Amino acid sequence: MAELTVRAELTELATIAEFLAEVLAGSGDEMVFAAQLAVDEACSNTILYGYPGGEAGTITITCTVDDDAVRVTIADDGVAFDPLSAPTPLFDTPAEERPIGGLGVHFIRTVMDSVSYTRKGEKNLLSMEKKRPASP
Amino acid sequence: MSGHVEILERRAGAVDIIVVKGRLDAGSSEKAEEHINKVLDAGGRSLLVNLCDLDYISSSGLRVLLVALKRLKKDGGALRIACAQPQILEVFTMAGFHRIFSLSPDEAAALAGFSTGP
Repeated sequence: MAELTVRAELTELATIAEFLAEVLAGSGDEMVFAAQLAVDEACSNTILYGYPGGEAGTITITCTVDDDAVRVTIADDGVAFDPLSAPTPLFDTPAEERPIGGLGVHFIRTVMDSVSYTRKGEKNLLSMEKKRPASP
Repeated sequence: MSGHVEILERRAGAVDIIVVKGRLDAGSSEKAEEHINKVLDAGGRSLLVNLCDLDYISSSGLRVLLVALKRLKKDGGALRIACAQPQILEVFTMAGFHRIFSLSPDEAAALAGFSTGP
């Protein structure tokens, strides 16, 4: 299990991406891409909207690589927020009228196999899992 | 700080070219938006965004491009994207943006589109 704790600041997004690239180096490009996109979108939301009072808290990312799957949990001490409650983007709407909100969560749901949210004490916990392709 | 993105501006005839390299995430998309707005504020109506050396784009980066596209369409301009990386294209496709934007495999093809396409 690998763990990274960073300040909830936008400049840390690149640090998070590097951490995942290292931990998932043996899991293939597609896995690295999926994990980086899903975690980046989730952490961006937390950093932008999780600390309306001003003072940024911390985000801890835990990553476990098993034979069958990669599991990532993101814990933050921001305001209680379930990102999975965001509405799905309106794909039938023309570009000019489409609201951009919800796109990040759509990406998370698309690239990961399962995502779940819980509030535990003072923390938001977002857990996601992606199955590894079966070995040939 | 947005040291993980590099943005360059060039011109080719009447076309303004903005090259975005590195990471276009929530931390760097504001910088990209500033560059694009500067070009549009100066009257630019043909904008080519070159993403060929972009390693990563998130929904924040897509939002900046969508805002630019809306503004250009309203003003009778055009936005074309030169984009080579498969993973960048995958993000566009996941968002349904491959149907909204004119995507070309490289800058030369995107430039040619301005003289021929609507």
